[in-house]
Formats: sequence, structure tokens, C-alpha cells
Amino acid sequence: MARMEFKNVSFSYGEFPAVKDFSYSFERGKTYCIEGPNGCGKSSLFRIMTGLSFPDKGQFIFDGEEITEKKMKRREFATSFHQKQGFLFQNSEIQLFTSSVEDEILFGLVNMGLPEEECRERAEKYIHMLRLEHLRERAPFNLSGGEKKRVALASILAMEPDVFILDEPLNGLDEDTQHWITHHIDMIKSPDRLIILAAHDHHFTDKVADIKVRMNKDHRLVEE
Amino acid sequence: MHIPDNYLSPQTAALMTAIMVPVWGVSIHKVRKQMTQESVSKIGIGGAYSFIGMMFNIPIPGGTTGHAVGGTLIAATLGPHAACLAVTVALLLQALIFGDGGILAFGANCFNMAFVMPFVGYYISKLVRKLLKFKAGDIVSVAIGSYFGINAASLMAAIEFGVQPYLFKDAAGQAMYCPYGLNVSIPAMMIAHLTVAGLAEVIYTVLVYSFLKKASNQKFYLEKDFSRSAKEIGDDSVKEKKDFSWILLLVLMILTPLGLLAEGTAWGEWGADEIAATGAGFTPKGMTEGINFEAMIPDYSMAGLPDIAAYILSAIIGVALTVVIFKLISLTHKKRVEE
Amino acid sequence: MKNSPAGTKIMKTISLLLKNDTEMSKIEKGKWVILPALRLLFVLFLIILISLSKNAAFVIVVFAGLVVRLAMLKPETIKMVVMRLVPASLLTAIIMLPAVFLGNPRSLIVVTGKVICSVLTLSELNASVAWKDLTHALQDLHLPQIFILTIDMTVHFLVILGRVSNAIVEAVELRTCGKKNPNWKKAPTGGILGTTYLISERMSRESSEAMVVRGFSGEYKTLKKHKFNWMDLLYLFAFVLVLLIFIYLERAM
Repeated sequence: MARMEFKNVSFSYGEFPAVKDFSYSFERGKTYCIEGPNGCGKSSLFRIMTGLSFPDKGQFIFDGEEITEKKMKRREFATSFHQKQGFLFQNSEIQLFTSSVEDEILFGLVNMGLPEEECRERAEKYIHMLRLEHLRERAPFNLSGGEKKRVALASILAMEPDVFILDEPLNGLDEDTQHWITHHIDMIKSPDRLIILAAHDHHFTDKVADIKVRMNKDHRLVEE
Repeated sequence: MHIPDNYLSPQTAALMTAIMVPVWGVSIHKVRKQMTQESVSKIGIGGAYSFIGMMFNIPIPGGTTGHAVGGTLIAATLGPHAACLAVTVALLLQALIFGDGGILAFGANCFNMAFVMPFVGYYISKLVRKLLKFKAGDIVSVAIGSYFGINAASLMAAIEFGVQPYLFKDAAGQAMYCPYGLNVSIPAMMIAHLTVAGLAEVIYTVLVYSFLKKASNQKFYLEKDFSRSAKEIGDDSVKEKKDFSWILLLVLMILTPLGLLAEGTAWGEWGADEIAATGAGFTPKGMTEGINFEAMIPDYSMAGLPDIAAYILSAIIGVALTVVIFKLISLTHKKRVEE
Repeated sequence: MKNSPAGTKIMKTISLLLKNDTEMSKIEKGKWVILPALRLLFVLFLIILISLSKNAAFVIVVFAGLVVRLAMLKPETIKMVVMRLVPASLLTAIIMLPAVFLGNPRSLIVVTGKVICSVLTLSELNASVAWKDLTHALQDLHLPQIFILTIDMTVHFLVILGRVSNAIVEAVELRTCGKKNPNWKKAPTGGILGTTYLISERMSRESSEAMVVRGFSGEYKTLKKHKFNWMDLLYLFAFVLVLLIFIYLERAM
């Protein structure tokens, strides 16, 4: 069964179309890269995938269940849905909203309802993994671009989701950190995990993605 | 020893204030150079002890009262310049909020209690300390120094009082301000301070000093030439020890109402309504027509509260404000002293 | 301070005021020694009593307690609290000035004193309890979820607004190529303010989405557990004490 399925999905912001008649299946264990010119609708697709927006036409199906606005209004449904996904926003600025790096990483864990021991353990693990020890007490707002990205990454990694959606993960990073992220994405791949990225850099996408999904200026899927 | 308003001519008051300006300037500068941020906060505690000390009024035979000031105490622990600032702030709060000590006379009061007392007290303590080299020698030298300190201050005050009738007379030949000449002021003030007030000062100084020696975690200014590792004044490298200097302060605050027991007003602190009855026979013009500042909590009392409660409350406010003021001042200091 | 025209001044003041909010919450990082809900209740209680009191003595008693609390804070925190106090008290004193001329100087002191006490107690709360702990306090007091959410989102929005307006003021200054004082008369201030608002509004909306995507469902959860200890008891005792003093003093009037 496909993890995520789009069936003739169309979506617009008011009168501006963002996605036109998009149909695709995303399978477990694979890494997809969504490519296309600016404004082709990648970010809108992500919004639908993460349940922040809903299709005007067509269906979006996750784990065999259609995701609709009505269903997402139910608290337990929404929470369990979100816990399965980790979404890295293009702009890390808005993704960080607490007063310390440690709090940021704990936020998702605490909301998942995990016991205190486990929350702390996981936070420690990912703080070490992303080399954030010396930044633990700092306010995320005051960090550099690269550090912010690492914190954002740590906070979604800590939730250990099965689906990773990364919107332009290399944006604004220096070369070293870019290498590091590329390496890291390789490390988190597993037969159960679905990874979906959006990126412009062909070197990066060639290295990391199994399948490339292309969209054109007209907000449609380009047939492979 | 607080000189109220209208006891000194405006000229005298101006002169004393003018003298104090450079003194304050030098003290601020020296403290800036010598003390770290944390030790400046400690000056606040010193100032608080001084404030409290001045609330314990002790009856003196003859119907007046006197009190300790603690200027030498602070000079011995934190240095004479720090003491100058500490006592100044205490006097400022007393004058503005409690009406204890005049507004125009502020300069003169500071001269006596924030300049003369700590410096005389300190240097005499230091001199004696050199002679008494045994371990508790510092306590003895501080006792002796404080005695000289308070008496030097009271002598100055007596002179300031006493010259008024000679220099400042009205058209009818009557004194405009303090009506008692040197022949009265000097004996009156000195007898009070050589005896009871002096003793009070010594006891208070020894008591608090000994306590601080055990409870405080800093090295004392007086001892900087006598201890093996003479570091920066108030250096908190002795950080393992916690600072408990405030504990005695709390105890004393609660005991302050004892100072209410002493009835009668200190010599030279009478109100305009009292002075004729003290022997002058008339009310000097300067007092009837002079400045009349209405403090918020005049004489440490409030309508609606029993005197004891108001007194303790005044002590609390005075102490807390002193600490706050010096904590704010400490922000202008660096964390570490430059070598 | 530069001789900036009104526009820059307003923008800078706003960003300065808002900056204080985020930084202050980090300064005295308490570890829930006292239940935040209890602190909040006490503060509200105090403010109500202060405004109700007809007795200057009560205000002075409360003031004494607050100054003692102030004296226990770190110097930097004291500075921030005092900096907030000054404009509020000055404003009140100026407003009350006519009372002096009408022959009732006492009321100037009493009203200013009440304002000082209220601002002091709020600032001290702000200094000792982080904002997120206050949201938990509101939750503990069973305030409806929607209110807490609205307040929290508003605070986040204001913080973001502060940052954005700061950035925009800098951008305008940079774009006026070399001139020290941007000519705000010529600058499209309306457009700038509008854009500032829109940007901040969008950012705060995206910020909420970021929270939702990480599993936030409107309920503020925390790891901190709190055991009722003697400090809480002391607070309750203070509650009762203050109430008794209030009643005693009001009766005496």
C-alpha cells in the first residue's frame, strides 16, 4: 500500500492556482525529490501533505485514509497524524519558537505524550548527534542560519517520524554543513521511511533521491 | 547627629555641599577603580547596616538622644571611599523619605557622617592595627577607630551649629538659625558623643564587624595589608563560602522598635515648635520662615499604623532601597578589576 | 541618541519594549520553586487590594514588601524593572499634578504609589517566571483554552512584530544611502507600517503552523512536575497575611 497518494488533486490560493490535477503515489522506503521552477507548486504540495491545507478537488490519502478538513478537526486524529511526519520548513526562522534549543527539541516530544525519561533521553541523543551541546541554553532566535537549521532538524528528528518532508534543506547553509546534511539524509533512510525533498541543486538530488518527480510552470506533474 | 533644615544658614549649607562635591567625586572614582560589580553590591549591605544603626536611639542624660552611625564599620570592611558613598545614600533616603536630616543641610550631614567619620575612623583604626598585631587586633582597632570617628564627626557638627549665631543675625540682633553658640553646642554635642553615643557606636561597630568577619565571604579592606594574600578589596574568589552578611541585618531590623523607647529629641534636632522651650527663649527667624520639606513617612511614622509597625516598616524600606540603589550602581562596574 | 524624527523613534521604541519581553523571561530562570499559578493569583490579588485600598498605609506596606523582593533580584533584572517603572510613574505623577494645585497633594502621592506598586509587582512576576510557565499557570487556573491560546499567540505576534519592525527600520535607514536621518516625511510610512503588520501577521501564522505540525493541539504540556513544598505554603501564608493587614487598615480608617 502506498504511504501517500494524490488523486487528481487541485489546489489554489483564492484565484491563483498552485496545483493542477496532480496524481501520484509515494511508496515506503524510497526517497523522492520534487523538482520544478519557482512557483510551480512544490510548497503547496507540502502543505497538503502535512495537513496544513486541503485539496480543492481530488483526494489526498495517507496510510489508506483520506485526509479532510473535517477529520483534522478532531484532536486525536490530528495529533497522531502529525506525529508520523517530520516537516522541515524552508525558512527555519519560523520553525523555531521557544526560548532555548533544548526546549525546542523537547517540544515535539512532550506533545507526543512520551514519559519524561524518554523525552530527555531522546533530546540528549539528538543534541549530540547534531552537535548542539554548546548551544543548549541559547535562544534559537539568536543563532546563525546554519545553527538554526540544525536545531530545526534535531527537533523533527527527535520525534522519529516515518515520513520526512524537507523543503529546500540546503538553503542558506555553508558547504560543510551541506555535506553533513547530505550524509545525514543517507543515514536516516530505511525500508520503512518515506523521504520527500524539494531542492534545486542537481548534485544533491542525484546523490540522495531515488525517484525524481517533476512539476512544470503550469503547476502540473510532468510525466516521466 | 542629623542636622535638620534651618539650623544652618543657606551659605553654610552651600559651603558644606560644595566641599562634599569633590569628595563624592573622588570616592566614586576610587570605588570605580578598585571594586568589582559584586563587591559594589555589598556596599549596599554596608549602607543598610548604617541606616539601621541610626534607628537605635539611645537616651542620654539631659533629655536628648544619640545613635550609632557605623561609618567606621563600613570603612574597615569596604574602605573609606565605599563608606562615604554608603553613608551618603543612607542619609539621602533618611532626608527624602523620612524627613530625618534637612534637605539643604544634606551636604553638611554628609560632611560629618560620610566624610569625616569614615576617614578619621579608618585611619585611626589602621594606625592602631599596626600596633596590635594579634589576631583579634582588628576588632580592637576598629572599636577605637569608630570612637574617634563619631566624636570627630560630632565635633564638626557642633562647630557648624555653633558659628551660626555669630555670623548670621537678623536686624534685631537675634540669631537667624541655630541660636546656640560654640560655648553651648560643643559641650552639648561632645558630652553626648564622648559618652553614650560614642559607646553605642563602639558596641554597634564591634558587634557587626565581628559578625561580618564570620559571615561574610570577602576580605576586609582594613586587613589587606595584614593578611598573607592581599587581593582586591571585597574579592569574591573566596566563592566557596556563602555570604550571610544579611542575617544580622534581619535581626536588627526586627529589633529597631527598641529605638522608639528613647524619648526626647537629639541635641540640635528639635522642630521649630520645640526650640524656644529648650532655653533659647525665642524661635529663630530662619526656622519660622525657612524651607519646609514634607517627607512621605515623616519621623518614621504613619497615620493608621501603630508606631512600632511603622518603625519596622521604615527600617525595611530603608534597607531594601539602599540595597537596590547599590545593585543598580554596581551595573556600571566591570565584573573583574583590571590589574 | 540620534536626532531621529518621530517615525524612527516610534518604531525603535516599539521594538525596544518588545525586545525586553523576550529577554526578561530568561534572566531569572527559576525552576518552579513556587507554583506559577500561585504566584499569578497572588499578583492579581495584590493588585486588586491595592486599587481598593483607601489607606496610604496599606500601599506603603505593600511597597515595602515589593522593594524587599526587588532587592533580592539580580542587578540586571532590577535595572529592567526600574526602567519599566519610571515611565509609568512619571506619567501618573504628571496626570495627577492638578491635584497638588487644587490643594490635595496627598492624592498625587497615593495614586502614584498605587501605580508604582502595581507595575512593580507585575514586573517582578515577569522577571521571575518565564512566559511559558505563565501560560501553564493560566491553564492551571482553568482559564478556557481559547483564551490562553489567544493570549499566547498575541504575545508571540508582538515579539515577532518587534523584530520585524526593527529590521524594517534598519532597512529603510540603509536604503536612504548615506543620509544619517532618513526623511520620514518622504518615506511611505503608511506602506511601511502596513507591510510590517502583514509580515508579522504572516510570520506568526506560520509559527503556529510550525507548532501544529509538531503535534501541538492547543494544550500546553510540560515536563515540569511540581510538588507542593514549604515555599508554596509560605506564599499562601503571605496571601492571608496581606488580607489581614488590608482588613485591619481599612477598618482603622
